[in-house]
Amino acid sequence: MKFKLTSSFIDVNKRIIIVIMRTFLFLFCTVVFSINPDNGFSQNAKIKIESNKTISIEEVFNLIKNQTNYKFVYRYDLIKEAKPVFVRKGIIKVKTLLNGVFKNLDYAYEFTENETIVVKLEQKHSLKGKVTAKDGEPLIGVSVYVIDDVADKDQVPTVGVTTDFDGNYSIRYAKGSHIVFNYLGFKKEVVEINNQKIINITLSEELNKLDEVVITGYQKIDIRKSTGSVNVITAKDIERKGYSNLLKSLEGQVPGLTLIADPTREGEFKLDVRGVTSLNGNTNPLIIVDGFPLEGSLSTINPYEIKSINILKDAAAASIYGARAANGVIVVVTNRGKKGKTSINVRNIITVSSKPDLSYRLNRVNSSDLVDLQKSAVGSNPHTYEWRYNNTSFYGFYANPSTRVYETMARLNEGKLSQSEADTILESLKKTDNTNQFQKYFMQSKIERQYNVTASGGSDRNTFRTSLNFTNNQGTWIGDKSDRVILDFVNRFKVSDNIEVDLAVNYVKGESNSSPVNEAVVFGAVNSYENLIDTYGNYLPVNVGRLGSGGSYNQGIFGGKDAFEIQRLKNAGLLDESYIPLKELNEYSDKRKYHSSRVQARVNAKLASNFTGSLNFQYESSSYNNRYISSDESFEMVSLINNTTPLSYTGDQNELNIPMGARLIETRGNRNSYTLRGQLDFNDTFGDHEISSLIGSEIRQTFSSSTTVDKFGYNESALLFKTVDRKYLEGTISDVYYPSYWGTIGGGIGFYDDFYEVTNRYFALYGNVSYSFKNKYSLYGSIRVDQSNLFGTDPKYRYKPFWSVGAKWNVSEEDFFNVDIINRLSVRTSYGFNGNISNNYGPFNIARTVNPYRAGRVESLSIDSPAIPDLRWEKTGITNIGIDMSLLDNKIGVNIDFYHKKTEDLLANGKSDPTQGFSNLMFNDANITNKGIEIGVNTVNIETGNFRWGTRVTFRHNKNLVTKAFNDENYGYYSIGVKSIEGAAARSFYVVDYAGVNDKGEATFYSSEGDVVAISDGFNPLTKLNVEDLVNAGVTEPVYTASITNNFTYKGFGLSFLFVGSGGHVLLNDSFNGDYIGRLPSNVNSDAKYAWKEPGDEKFTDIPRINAPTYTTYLTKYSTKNIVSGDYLKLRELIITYDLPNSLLEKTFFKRVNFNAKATNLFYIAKNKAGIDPEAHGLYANRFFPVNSTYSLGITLNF
Amino acid sequence: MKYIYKIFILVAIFVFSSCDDFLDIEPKGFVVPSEVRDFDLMLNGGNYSIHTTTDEDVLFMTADDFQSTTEQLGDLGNPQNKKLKLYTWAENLFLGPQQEPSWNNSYSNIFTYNTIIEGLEGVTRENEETVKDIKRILAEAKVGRAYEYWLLVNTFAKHFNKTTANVDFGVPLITKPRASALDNPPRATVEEIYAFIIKDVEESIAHLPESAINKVRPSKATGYAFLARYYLSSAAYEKALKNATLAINLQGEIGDYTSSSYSEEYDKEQYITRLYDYSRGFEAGFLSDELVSLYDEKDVRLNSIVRADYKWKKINGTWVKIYSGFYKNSLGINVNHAVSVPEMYVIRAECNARLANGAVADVITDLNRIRIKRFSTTNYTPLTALDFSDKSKALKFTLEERRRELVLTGVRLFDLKRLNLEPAFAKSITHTVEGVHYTVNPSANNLVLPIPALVFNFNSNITQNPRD
Repeated sequence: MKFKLTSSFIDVNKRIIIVIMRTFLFLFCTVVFSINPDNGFSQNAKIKIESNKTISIEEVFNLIKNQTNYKFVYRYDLIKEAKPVFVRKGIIKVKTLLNGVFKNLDYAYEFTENETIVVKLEQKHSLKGKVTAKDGEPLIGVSVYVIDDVADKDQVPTVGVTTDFDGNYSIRYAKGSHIVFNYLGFKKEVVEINNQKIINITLSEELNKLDEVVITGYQKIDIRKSTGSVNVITAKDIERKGYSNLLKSLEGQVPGLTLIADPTREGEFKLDVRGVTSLNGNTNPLIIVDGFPLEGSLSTINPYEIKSINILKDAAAASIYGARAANGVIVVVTNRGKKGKTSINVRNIITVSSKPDLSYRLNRVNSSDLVDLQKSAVGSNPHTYEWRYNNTSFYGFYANPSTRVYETMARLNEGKLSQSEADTILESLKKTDNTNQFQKYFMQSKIERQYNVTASGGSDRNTFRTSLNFTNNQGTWIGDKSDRVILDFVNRFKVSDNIEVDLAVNYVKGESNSSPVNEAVVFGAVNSYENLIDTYGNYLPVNVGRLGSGGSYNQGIFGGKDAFEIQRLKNAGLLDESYIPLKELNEYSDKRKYHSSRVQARVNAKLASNFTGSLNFQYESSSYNNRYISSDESFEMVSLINNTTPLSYTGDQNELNIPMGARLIETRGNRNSYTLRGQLDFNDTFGDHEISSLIGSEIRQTFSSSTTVDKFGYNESALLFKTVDRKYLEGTISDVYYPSYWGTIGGGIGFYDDFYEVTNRYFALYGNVSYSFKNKYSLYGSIRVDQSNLFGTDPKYRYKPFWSVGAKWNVSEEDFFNVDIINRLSVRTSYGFNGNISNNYGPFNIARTVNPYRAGRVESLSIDSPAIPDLRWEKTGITNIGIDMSLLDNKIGVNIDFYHKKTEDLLANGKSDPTQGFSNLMFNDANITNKGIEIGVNTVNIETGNFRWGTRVTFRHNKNLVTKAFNDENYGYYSIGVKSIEGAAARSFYVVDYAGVNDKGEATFYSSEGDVVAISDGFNPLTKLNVEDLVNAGVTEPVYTASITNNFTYKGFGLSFLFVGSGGHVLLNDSFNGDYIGRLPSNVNSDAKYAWKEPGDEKFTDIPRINAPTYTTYLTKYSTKNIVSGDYLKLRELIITYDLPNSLLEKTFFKRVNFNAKATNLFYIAKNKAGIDPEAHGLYANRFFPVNSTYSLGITLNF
Repeated sequence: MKYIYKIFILVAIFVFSSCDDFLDIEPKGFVVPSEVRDFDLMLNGGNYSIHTTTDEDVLFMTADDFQSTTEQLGDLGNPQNKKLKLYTWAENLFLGPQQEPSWNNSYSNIFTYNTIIEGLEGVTRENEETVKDIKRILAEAKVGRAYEYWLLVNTFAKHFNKTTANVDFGVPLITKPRASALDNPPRATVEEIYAFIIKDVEESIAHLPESAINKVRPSKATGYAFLARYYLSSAAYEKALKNATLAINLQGEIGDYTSSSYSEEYDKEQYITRLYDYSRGFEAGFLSDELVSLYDEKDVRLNSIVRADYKWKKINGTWVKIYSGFYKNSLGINVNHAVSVPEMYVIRAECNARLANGAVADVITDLNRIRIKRFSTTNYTPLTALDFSDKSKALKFTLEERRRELVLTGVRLFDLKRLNLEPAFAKSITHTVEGVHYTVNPSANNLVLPIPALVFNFNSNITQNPRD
């Protein structure tokens, strides 16, 4: 076990302080003053009673009249018959006294103006009001009743009602002192009735019972009747966390949803619901916002406007949303307006991250070791480029720069340096390390600022809510920044008693600048001993290796050159190709601007008492503009111009194939989509039977298009560009990168010009029905049929439906159930069936229109995907069994779900018989099962007066198994790596069983027979390595994940911390594996210093010698040597909140003032000994930047 | 009753929204081929299909026109170095799951041709014009398919030998487009393949257009030219001669390599264009010393085709000319491996030299027709009867001329196999890597490439070629 404290150093410089100050200024300047004078009552006046006595009512009135200014108005005959009352000696409030007097009488009294108390006979009292949850949402179906005696537990209420759809109730009663509000999932409230006519109340949620309603996006289902596996996250939980990225708010909240660091995308996390079910398809859950699938980005949702998030995990989810829901559904419901006086909420959060740890990311040997290693790899007869150019041959050497060490050794070898001069140079290289220079000039701390203002209010007929959210971000790399504004407006109004219209508008505008940093330069193309800047502040050129991906597209275009070659080209009249990292920072501009809008309209009509019809419409539209400019002095342009110019260049610019000047690549695109849905809901109760069902249909269209232009010789101020001979450049142009080679650049120069347009249309019919009996038994069934215009939806597949069935038994509702410690117990189960079909393949050939260069650019058709008549529907059956219970006075709540997900005929692009024309085809090729358990436990550990301590634990274990394999994964050598092979979990690491190094420094491994096989020269893995020799070293994604949240509140203070842990999976350590160290600059792993050097070393090291035989690097990398555990436990969050006490706020216009401080990723414990942050490690043994610690400060004001 | 009215509106919306027309839009840029025009356009090929086939390394590195340096061969320590394995006729060629373009490209093109041929059966024959178009497209597809089979059978089977062709394994004969079929097609015999391709071309010629629609499509002349090639390789010299003449009669102009617009002259003499897989062409070898010695110093072909690509290299203090392979763009041409006009003349010359009734004079005439365009007029001395003392000398010179002329087409490997059947021309060839010599004898199996190992994973009816 290694215990690591992540860097907690924040660069608290002046700038941040200024930012904080500005932030607060902003807050106070945006405050809108509004004062709400309190019309106090005077019934708090006190009466002094001299001694215990029994007196008549009239005497009581006199007592009050004498000691206060109150007057009484009453019919004398009414009180004449009243019994005398007993009064106790002491000081008592008028109100209390009167309540006591009238307690058992059918009288009521009322304070009116002029300090007059009216007493009259009250046959029936009436009370009305509204019951809401803390977030202002009306609670429907709350039991409201009046009781007479608070102390009498068994008292039967005389009269009771339930709240209506808007949370309103109205009750008439003859007698009673207290009104009781009771609602499942909320704390029971008992309110004393003191003559009020209206009692509005806000109920607070009871632990473990947060999820009173399941919102599927199509309907709301009472949790008591929901048979599905659903988790609900409330606004409170999201708000407290204060992330601008909604995904992060979801972590540790519910057992079914896991946030996993994506090992293929640095710094990115992905959501996982119940394991791998698709091998190459989309694995993201479907996100529904206010009932509509989100086509745009999650970033268009204001995180502070979320009311609740429901996670639907089982088959019922998919059956109602179709194929896209196979990975689960996240249903986001945003806030609506609240009736009442306009309330305003202002929030401001600033988050600062620790500086990214570059030396961790690079994990390279220090300069001293690097010089030694490179020196040992130089070989016996090194030569400079200049020497090669002038001496030996005209081919076989390239213009890439050598490392400084190679250069020095070559010059020593050629007699241009003396031994002592060479030693001096090497010594100075050993003492230089540019890691800090890169860190200083290329990187910065991430800073994020969020401002949010919300106003909400409304009347009975009309409520509104509007919010403005502004987020400003500064990224890890210099120059990386973004701004985003989200404007939301929602309005709900009643057209008539039966028709309600809900209108929501969302507008997002954003702008971002990407960093000009070429990450390849920082991550290894420049050796550590290259100084970027000298002591006088001059920017220095460096020997740089290959930059960018290049590939066949831009082969030989983006790489550094040897100093001699640079000079030679300059002499020939070409441009200076020296690579100066710090200068490069000013030469690129990469901007993105976008805006998007979303309009949603809903009409709900109550057609009859049990029928509701609704029409829903959503239109989304967005456009973006991406603009990339590399300036005329950028290395990209200089290099491109030089490399496409023939060596016969005379200095006449007309001979240039690419003109001098900048390059502009600009993409303008737009997307829009609409959805129209009609739905009929039926709800009715017949005695103990309750039926609710819905049927609906939906059409949807999505459209996107873009245009990209790519121009050379671009002049930004004049908006001019120059034409180029594309036919020549796109062909195969001479390759001057290898100046004496006869070669050409294959494929020529790539251009980015492009047109793109796609329209997709979908149609769906869906319906469901649920039945429940006495709230004890519930049954549920749903079905959906999808169609689209896409290929692959052959009519015979078109009507393949998704369906699900479920049942639930509320055991604790049974009469026989009588277990004291269990307050609530229910079991539920569901089974459902859904699937997927490839959109790109079908029972017919699909051809694409092309203009093939090789055929002379004539219009052509080329078969893109061939007919596959036997392609079948991919089938996933999901079984879910769940138990929900509350224990010990609802102090403990437990939800347990078991699931079994069986996917058959999985669609996969597998190898096929090339003799039939294709080497790759879509096949129904594999079966996978996922079995798992999800546990959620909520407890209230201590609750005394002002102090409360609650704990939430989530746990998930998922076991994945490939039960039928693909036909292309069993080739020994080719099975190495991350594969899904029959009989094991999908995406497992298959590696060789490493046996250390031998006395030649060669890597060795154990064969399946137990022999030790050395990877010597000429080792052929195709014949020497069988699939049996590989071992399954473990899965690449966590098998189990767990979290613990502890919440402490004391008065206005709140403290919560979240621990998350994952494990059961493995990582591939980024060690040294006998890699090639040669003439060119490369990043050398820090373990290289332990590499085998001479016989005998094999006793102390298992790291192969540098420049080991072919295949060593690959096989050693994928060997048990580098497999380390992925287990970790992290303190993900620590949040401290403070609410100013009401006593302080009473005199101000603020309703609530909240301060919030948060720190994330403060420390972690990882099981691996390699010092790897398991959440920051690439799938292919590459380190990412460690997950940052962040520190946030926030303030929220309500008024 | 008011609510019933409302329900009616909602139901009407359901009906409206389920209207099938809504889904009847095809994604832009994509087509499900079903009309005559679609199949016609498919003959133009995609970015790398129809006009792109086989693999340059497989054909060039196993024959004797080129020799490779260590640098060109790449990492000699890598036992999976395909270039090295081809160059040394190694035992474990095409191992593992590696895709082999010389096999895959041809069968992929055959799939397209089969799709066209089968698809045309289903189209409606509206009028005379359509019927004529259908016949033409069918003919073009069959001619294209036949060429793929000719390449396959010559690469992966023993050369056509009259006495054993009916038992020698050829390649699987696929005539239906069934991409996902796993029906284990066995290898047809060499004779069956030849019979199939010759029949298809013979029957198609009548329907081919007089002039090609574009450079990757066949004309009537293309049909005859292919037949001449196929008949020659099956030693049917009479028919080869006849078809070469028919092709020449329709298109017989030879390009002038001494012209400055070399690439246009080159294009002029091509019947149809078929390109290699790799856009850079063949770069893993220099012209072999033996082949260079076959050229006259003044032969423009050495200069036009390869001189543009020679480099000087200083070896042991003296400057040596090193000839490279070909680079289509440095020549300004796309090197074609299908039939060309000069090939027809060398075929006719060879047939005349071989046939009992052939005249040496005709051989000389045809060879001169080519050679006059390969030397600048001042440098050229026409061949005369005096140059050949007997017919066998004329044949020998014709075969050398064939090699000089067809140097970039890759048919040399097939010619080697063909000529090895004749003791007079049988030849051992040797490649040298780092001083180690590798030799293939005329009787050796190694000029027949093995069936790619991958194929056996899908097809249990395939028999592997023997390897020495």
